[in-house]
Amino acid sequence: MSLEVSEVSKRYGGLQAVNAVDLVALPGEVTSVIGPNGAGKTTLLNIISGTVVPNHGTTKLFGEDITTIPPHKRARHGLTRTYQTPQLFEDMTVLETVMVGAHLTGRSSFWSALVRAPFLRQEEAAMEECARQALKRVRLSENVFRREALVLPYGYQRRVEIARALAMNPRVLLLDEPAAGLNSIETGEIAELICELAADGMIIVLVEHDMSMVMEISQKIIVMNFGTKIADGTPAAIQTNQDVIDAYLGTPHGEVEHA
Amino acid sequence: MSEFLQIMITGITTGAIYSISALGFSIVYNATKVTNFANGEFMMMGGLISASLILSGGVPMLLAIPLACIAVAVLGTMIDLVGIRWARRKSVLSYAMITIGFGITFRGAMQVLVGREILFPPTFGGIPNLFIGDIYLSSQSGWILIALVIIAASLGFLFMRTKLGKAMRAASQQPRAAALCGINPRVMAVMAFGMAGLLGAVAGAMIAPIGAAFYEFGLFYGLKGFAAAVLGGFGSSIGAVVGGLLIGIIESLTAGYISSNIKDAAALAILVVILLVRPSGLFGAMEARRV
Amino acid sequence: MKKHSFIANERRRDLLILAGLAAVMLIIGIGVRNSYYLSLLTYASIYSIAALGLFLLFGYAGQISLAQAAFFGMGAYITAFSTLNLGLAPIIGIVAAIILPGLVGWLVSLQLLKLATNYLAMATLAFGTISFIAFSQLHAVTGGLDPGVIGVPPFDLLGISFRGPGPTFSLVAIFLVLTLLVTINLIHSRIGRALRALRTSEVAAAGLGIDVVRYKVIVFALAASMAGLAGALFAHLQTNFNASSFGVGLSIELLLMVVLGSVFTPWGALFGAAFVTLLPAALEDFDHYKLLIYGGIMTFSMIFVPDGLGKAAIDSLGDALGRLGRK
Repeated sequence: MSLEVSEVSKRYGGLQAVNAVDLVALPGEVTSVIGPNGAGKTTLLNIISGTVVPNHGTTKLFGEDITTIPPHKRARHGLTRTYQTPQLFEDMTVLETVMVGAHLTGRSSFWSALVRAPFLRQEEAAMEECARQALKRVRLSENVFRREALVLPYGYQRRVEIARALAMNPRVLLLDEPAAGLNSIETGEIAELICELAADGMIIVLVEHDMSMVMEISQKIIVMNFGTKIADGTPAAIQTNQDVIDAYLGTPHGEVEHA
Repeated sequence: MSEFLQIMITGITTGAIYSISALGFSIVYNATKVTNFANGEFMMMGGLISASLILSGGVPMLLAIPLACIAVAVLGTMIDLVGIRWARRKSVLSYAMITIGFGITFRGAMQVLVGREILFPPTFGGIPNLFIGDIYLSSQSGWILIALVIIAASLGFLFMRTKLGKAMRAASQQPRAAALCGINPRVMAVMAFGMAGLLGAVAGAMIAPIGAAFYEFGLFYGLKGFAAAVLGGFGSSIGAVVGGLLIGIIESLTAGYISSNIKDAAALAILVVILLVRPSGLFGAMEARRV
Repeated sequence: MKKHSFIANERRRDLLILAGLAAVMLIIGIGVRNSYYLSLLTYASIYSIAALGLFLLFGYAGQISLAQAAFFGMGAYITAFSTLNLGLAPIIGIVAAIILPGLVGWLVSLQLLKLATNYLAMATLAFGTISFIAFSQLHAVTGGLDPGVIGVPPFDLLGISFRGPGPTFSLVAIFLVLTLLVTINLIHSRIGRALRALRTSEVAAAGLGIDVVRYKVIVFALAASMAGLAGALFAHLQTNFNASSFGVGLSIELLLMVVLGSVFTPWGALFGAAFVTLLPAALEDFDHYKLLIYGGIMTFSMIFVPDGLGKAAIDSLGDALGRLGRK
């Protein structure tokens, strides 16, 4: 019951962005992908989310091959993501934004919406409740619900984005640098939230630069450099892996030899 | 056969005008990533302002046309300085709507200032009308073809050989890197709009003696210029020239062999078909699809 | 503790406004006798219907379409053809004017909506222009620019004939209320929110399971249907018309109505339609300055208040009221 990425490769013209990378992410675990800028982490994430179709390799979710399935259909399989810069919706309140996340929990079609079929009332109430629950989970209080999402402070925006993803009750959540731009307190809060989500049984794939956060909450870490996976293991193993140190982490004295 | 060649000549003449219009689209797009919906109005204004200066104002042609071109170039820079720069919302949608708005404003201003007459300014003269066998190349057509060659060559030289041209290309591809090198993308943007205005006005002034000047012509000039740009590959200068000539030829063939009433629809139909089938056009690499 | 449902309240508020509007229109239909004012209001209502379609397409889903005039014209010609040439009851003409343009819109958008914003705008502009050329040139079918279509009979249903300014206004008012109802229903549903999301971030919407292309196609077709309905009512109102009513100018005016009003509430489209329809009546010699004024308003709005003058007005009103200490 896992997310399995096998031998995926993506080439853009002359650049091999991702080269035969494997990744297995299990429920209840935080699987992190780290590496220097340009290592191909975001491309890998895009392959998993469906925004990018790989040249080779497969992506399997719970045993089913989803390699060529577009993002909106992957969402129906329970896979969703957040983005490096929060992709919130303009001129929509926090509550409405998160309700969009609950879109798939509804059954109404264009036609039934146009004529306001009787079940719509219940559906709307249920979606609103679902959004409230998701917002509660990321610990945003009710007084921000009616505020426009884009005017909130950055840390709040990130939480709204996560709430929006949670509203669809995902089984797989991909997080693209959720701590970027946050101070250490906010980072701690996000880290705690991610742990809770994993503990609830979600598959979490995390791309992050904040090493202390990654080391603290991950069960497994994949290290990438120049599009290739150079290491794969527990945080302890990664921290002592010579290839990784050479490429990315540096020694405790802060010296790094760039490959 | 000679009828066919005559149709081709007409096609190349009008096509040259579309090419110049398409170059205007490309230059602005390359510098700012904005599609300037008011591009066609530049041509309309070039023709109409110069025609009205000559006919109503008694201004000599040699003065009227440059004046008109400068005026339109300045109006073009206004789109960037007032419209783009002051835009509260910096999105593709907003910019498109702003340039649409400017186009309508220009058209309305011309209607008020010049009126609803269709004006026919005199031809340039200078070059004689040529007869090659059965085929007739009018003096004005000659000027248009010469202008196209000069403009294409000048732009080619500008962009490939001069510092300014290279700076413009750099600014369009990598604005931040260019800025770090001392190139100001904002200045490049203003210049691009000014150039597009100038080019459009020249094209409009040149076609006016043959095709007339009228405040409502901007719509078709714009659409056909855009069609030419897309056909040739949006953003590509060679593409703009080739695309324009092709559209002109196809339009002329339609007028000659099918019906002149629907010749305008021919260019538009080509635009729609190209966008659906091969949006990158002949020479372009631009992404037209989003899904 | 009882929780407020903001979402349900918004819908209730819109429905209340609709009820008020319906009441006002009922009073006008019965009480107002001046045929000039009635005719103005009827035109405003007809254009409101077309503008509502564009509001959903542009205001909500963020797709620029300059093709609405084409569907408006189709609706007019379809109902004229159906009543004059085929002798069918007017209600069939109206239904056909809703369905057929919708189908055409659906087919056209299936192809066009893969394109990025600017290309879409140009492509719809091209489509609108081609349609206008077709309307003008297919003389045998449409009557072209001169003489056009003559003598569309007044609408009648089940023996009730809507003849004359008052009854015509009432007929249009009924359809406007119905269109508004349908629009309000759509807005306050998961589909409506999904459409609004498309305006800002199609990527994020897709990541949440929304089939972006399908939704854009549906709303394009819906906008086409609404324009078709408006066109059919226009045919009944004018009785005689020709292709010159369906040029790009109308598409631009409709866009202006949405821009003027607000991209967030359907009431903005009504405000914009009323403004654009009533303004020429208020200003003498308006036709001469029309383009300049419209262009100026559109440019100004899109630069400084891109969400619509209506919204700016509502927002500042809201701020002012807030400062007065209200909740």
